[in-house]
Amino acid sequence: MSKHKVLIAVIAFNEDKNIESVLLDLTTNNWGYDIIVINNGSNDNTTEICARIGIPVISHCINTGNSFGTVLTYFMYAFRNGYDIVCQFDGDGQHLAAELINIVNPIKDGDADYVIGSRFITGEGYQSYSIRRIVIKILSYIIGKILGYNITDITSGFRAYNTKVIFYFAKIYRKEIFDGNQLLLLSHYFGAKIKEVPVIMEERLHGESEFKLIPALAFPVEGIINILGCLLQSNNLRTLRGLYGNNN
Amino acid sequence: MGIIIKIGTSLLGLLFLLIVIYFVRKGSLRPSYVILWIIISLFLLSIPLVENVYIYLSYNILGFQNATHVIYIILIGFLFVYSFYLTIKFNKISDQVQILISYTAILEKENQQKYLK
Repeated sequence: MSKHKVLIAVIAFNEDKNIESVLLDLTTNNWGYDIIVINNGSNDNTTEICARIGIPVISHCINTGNSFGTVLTYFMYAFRNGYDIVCQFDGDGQHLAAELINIVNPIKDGDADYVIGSRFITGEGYQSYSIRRIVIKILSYIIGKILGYNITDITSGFRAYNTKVIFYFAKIYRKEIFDGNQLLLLSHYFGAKIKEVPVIMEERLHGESEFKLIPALAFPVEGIINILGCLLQSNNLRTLRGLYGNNN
Repeated sequence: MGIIIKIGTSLLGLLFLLIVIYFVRKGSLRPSYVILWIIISLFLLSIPLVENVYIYLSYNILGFQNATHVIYIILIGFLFVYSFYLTIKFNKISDQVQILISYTAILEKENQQKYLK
């Protein structure tokens, strides 16, 4: 169906209750993409369940914090295996396979290098809890001012990237990624065209979300620190764009 | 400066220097990491030997009434520099660990595929 080689990276950390339905959703709606599960150091049966369904797994030997600890892994994997598009897909059941086409199409059409699936554009489906929503709004406003266009959901884990972004993170900027702000701004400074598309998300199926009280309080502080950090690096990152800008 | 303090700082400096040399010889400390510690040891050793230099520094240049304050400030300055150096080092190591975790995970998956074929 598609001439683009697409990889769906399912992020999982102790998701043995959710992963089966997520993978079944992805396999039944498969329109020609490859699926890989990035197991971020789970100590439950996540790997066994994936093996039973027949989905390949990349397992981190230790947990690397939140889902951003897996970003480098899927970029490196996609680069090594020659994928044209890679999509991040959460293993907790919040994302729907039917919505994947919405974030992949802008890349296929050449409209964007980095696509974010935002649940706040149309306001349909699960919208996250209120305090977090306010913080996301503030951070998105700041990021929007830096980028020069509106962004509504900087924390969305439902994202797609093309070869430009894959190459940048797999080969040039091989460092720890802490949050969505950093990922977005680094890509922007490298010259990636960013686009946000509306998607519908659901509430996670089982278990608690990774956001608890202390991380929820630290979230805006970390967000602002990461934004400031990226702003300070912006000149260096733009120089990198000049050096590698034509590599796709 | 009292004779007891002079002997105390010299002994402390000497002890510190010997400990650093011992760990470098053992291979537990890399020479590049201990340069600052050696400087601190030498500084402690230098206090009774060039006491007049510190007194001159504190009274005539920095305007302190007590020469020991200069010593404290130099010691705290050393620690600041070293903590900052360690933060940079830690950051670099943290990035390297992230790359290694990702890389080993991918290689392990590729190895498994080879065995399953």
